[in-house]
Amino acid sequence: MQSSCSCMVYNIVNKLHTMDGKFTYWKTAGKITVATGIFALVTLIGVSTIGVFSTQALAGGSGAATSTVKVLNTPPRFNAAPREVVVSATTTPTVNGSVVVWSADAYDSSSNNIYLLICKTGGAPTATTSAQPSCAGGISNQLAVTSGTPPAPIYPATAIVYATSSPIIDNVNETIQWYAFVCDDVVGLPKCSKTTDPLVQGTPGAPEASPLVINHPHTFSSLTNDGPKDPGQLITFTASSTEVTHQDTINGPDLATLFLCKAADFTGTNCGSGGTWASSTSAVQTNPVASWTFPIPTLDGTTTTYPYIVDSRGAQAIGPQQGTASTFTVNNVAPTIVPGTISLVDQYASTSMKLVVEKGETPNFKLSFQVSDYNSCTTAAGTPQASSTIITLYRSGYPDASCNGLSDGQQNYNSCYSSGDKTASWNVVCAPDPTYMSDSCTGPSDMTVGWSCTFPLWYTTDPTDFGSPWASEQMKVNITPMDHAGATSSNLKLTGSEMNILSALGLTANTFSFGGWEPGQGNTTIGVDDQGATSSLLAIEATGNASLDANISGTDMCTTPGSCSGSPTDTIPASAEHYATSTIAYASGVSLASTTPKFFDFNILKSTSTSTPNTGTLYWGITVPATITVSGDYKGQNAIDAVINSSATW
Amino acid sequence: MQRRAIFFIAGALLSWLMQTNVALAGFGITPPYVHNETLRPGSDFTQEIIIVRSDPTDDLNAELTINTPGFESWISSDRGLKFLLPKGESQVRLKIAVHVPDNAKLGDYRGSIRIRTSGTGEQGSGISLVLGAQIDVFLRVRDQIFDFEVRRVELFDAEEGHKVLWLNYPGKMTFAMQLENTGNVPAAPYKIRFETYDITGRQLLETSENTNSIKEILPFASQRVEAYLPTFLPTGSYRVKYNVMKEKDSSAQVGELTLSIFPRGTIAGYKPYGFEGLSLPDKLTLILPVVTVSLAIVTPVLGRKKRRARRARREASESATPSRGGMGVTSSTARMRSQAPSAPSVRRSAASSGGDVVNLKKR
Repeated sequence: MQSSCSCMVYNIVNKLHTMDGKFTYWKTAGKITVATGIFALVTLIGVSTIGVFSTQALAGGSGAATSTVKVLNTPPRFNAAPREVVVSATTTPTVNGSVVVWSADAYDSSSNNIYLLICKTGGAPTATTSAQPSCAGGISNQLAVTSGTPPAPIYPATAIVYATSSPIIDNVNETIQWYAFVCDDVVGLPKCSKTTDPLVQGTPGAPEASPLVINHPHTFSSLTNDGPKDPGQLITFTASSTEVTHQDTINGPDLATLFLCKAADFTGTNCGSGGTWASSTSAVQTNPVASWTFPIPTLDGTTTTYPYIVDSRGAQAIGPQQGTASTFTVNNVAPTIVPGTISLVDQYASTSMKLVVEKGETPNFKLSFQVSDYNSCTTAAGTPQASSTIITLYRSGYPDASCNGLSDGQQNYNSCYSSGDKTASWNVVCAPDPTYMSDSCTGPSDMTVGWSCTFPLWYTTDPTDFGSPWASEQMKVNITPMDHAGATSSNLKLTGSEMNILSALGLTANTFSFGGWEPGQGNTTIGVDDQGATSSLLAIEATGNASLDANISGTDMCTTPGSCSGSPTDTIPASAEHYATSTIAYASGVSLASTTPKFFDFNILKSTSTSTPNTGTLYWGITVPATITVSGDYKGQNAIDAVINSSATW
Repeated sequence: MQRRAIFFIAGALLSWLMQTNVALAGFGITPPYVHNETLRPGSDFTQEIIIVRSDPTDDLNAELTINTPGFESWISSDRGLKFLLPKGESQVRLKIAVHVPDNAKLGDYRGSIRIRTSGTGEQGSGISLVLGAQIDVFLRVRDQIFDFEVRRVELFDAEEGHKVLWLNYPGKMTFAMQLENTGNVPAAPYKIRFETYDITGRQLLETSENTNSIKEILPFASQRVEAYLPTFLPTGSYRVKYNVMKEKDSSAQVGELTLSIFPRGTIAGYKPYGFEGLSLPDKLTLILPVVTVSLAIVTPVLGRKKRRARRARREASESATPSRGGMGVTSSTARMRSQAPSAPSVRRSAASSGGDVVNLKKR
């Protein structure tokens, strides 16, 4: 080998000399130097090669040396990033005080038990033989650790391992960093994953990765309202609520919305099937409000609401008022009469009302109307809201205050009737009338119901129609409905109905005597007989509601009435009878007209007393003509017609 | 002496026998008048009067005496001038009819009617007393008077409207009124107007007017009429301020009522709006296409008929007068003329005695 190398070296040197004619420098001394250098290099290379081969030969060859090493326990490792099972992020924060669960997909090359440990700091945790590991810094630094029997997947299988925390309460911070480690519990040499593991805080940037985002809920301490209010009015509830522990600022402040539920069934975002009274129209940072207008109708009384507050990131409030029943009150308001629904008629259903009973009461007048109540036509108990009604009836020119039903002694049976007058008798019957305008009370959502009052009126009731002093007036009513709570309202209404005149008269005496007279003789004084006693008088009553005059006429008298001969010997002419309203001289009296009635200004004033009608008295006198020669039963007929007194004095 | 005694006895007997036989009853009438101040020539009016007896134990004859000088013929009674007041009946109705002749003069007419009673049986001894009453008659004949009173109103529940394709059918509010015609011509409200508010009465939600013609009421009559108004409001309770307009710028009555609108199909017997309830634009979207299509079909047919008729007339005139002096009209020329788009019009002058005047301008 060495000789071959020398030849090679020589050939190389020789080649260098011959290849380049310029290399005249290459003299014998230079050649030797170069050759020596090249020889040394070749030798070095050769020795090295031989050495390697020698080593290998030692190993495999009979007669080589063997060495071994034992690798001790290695910690479990993450197969996938650890994560919050329920994502805790800025948009879905964890409510302060909640339990958090982490999970991790991990394996152990020795198929050992795997614990998941979540710590607040990244310091190296401490694995423990046959027990749970612990965080650096101790239990105060620990968020969660696997409890119970940990999984031990057979390598290379993996397992999902969980760690559940206790309620995490942090009243200071909005975020909590966490660090996840997987550890085994090998006897003597338990291990935990490295602090430098890139997955120690989960997948960077993922919402399920560290940190925990904490949402601090509002504390709902109390609820007030500005009631009681009437139906139709706005009631406002104000909650006393704020983030007491910490005011969150991530993604802006937490804004609170107040829900007023009808039942304790808040779902977390809305009231449940029980319904909603109201909710805030805009969320606010503190003290949210909610209001609504009581619909019309709304039953009066106290009602319950269940208030709930939830913030803008879905955290329900805590505190004594959250979900605790609170009450509000709807005022009782007085019932009223619906305008345009009043009807006043007589028994013939006519608004031109007629009295048809002389010296007595005409029955079955009817006043109908609709009662309206903002609390509904019924009560919560199902009884009628309007329980009774007081009515007054009078002519419109009569002072309202004199017939308002508010005091006793108002009723006079002429110009005023009042069912509220305890000192007077008026047989009024008032009750709900579902047939009136077909208006029955259908339930709490119905606010009107028909009512009718039936009553009699005395013959003394002032008329308001043509021919009376009150012809420009009409009948007026004051209706005072009262509800179950005693609330009342006064409703003065013109009815458009008229009370007609009843022009009527009656006789109280059935006889009057002329006395006994011979032909040619008679009363020298009207109404006084020949003995000087008062006789031949006729009392005439005004038995309607009018002041009366009279038309008086009569027929001739004879023994064959209706067919008198007219002869002066057997016919006493009607003109022989005289009459007057007092005992005056016969000659001064009014001569009875025959056939055509003669007007007599009687002026019997309108009766005002129900028991004692006004009367006028007519005294009579007669002179038997001297020409009468026939004795006998002389008969005749006198007619008295009622005439409405045209005088203003009634 | 004896003669005097006879006369005395006769006189005593006479006086004793001259006892009054009294009906012992009251008698009255209500109302005691026939009164109307809004009559017009040709109008009719009836006044009902109730005759009242407090003790109707016997039949009574009743007799009317009409004392209305100058207008007796206007007055009549449904029971005639003589009738019976039966025993047992404390009230008897009497109708006095008034017919104003067409040629009646305007003015006031006054008079009276007397009603007198008498017993039906044989008259007893002495003087019998009978009761009666006077019915005052006052009539005023005037020119036309338009007036009415609203006695009562009622607003019924309604159902909400609905949509069919593009057509919006409103809910139908029914507003009933009891009206009394106090004029002397048939009368009805000019219009019914609603302003519908929320239930508190604060926020105006819609206004509407009646869509139907309200039935007229005859003079002096009282009648219930209905108006229908549309609503597009949803289910709920509302307050309605109504205005019954007498004329364009006057109201007969205004007031407030509550309205309940229920879901469709809730109210038994409810009659919703049909085509008549649609708004005018909606109606036009139905009418115009129909009219257009009809015209498109009818117009060509009519045009063809007209052309045929014209051609027939021309041919008939040509065959009757083949040439006119100086005009040299040939059949071919006539055909050309008939095809001309604007043939000369022929006007007949009012003063002409014959022959047509041709409008040279159109040539």
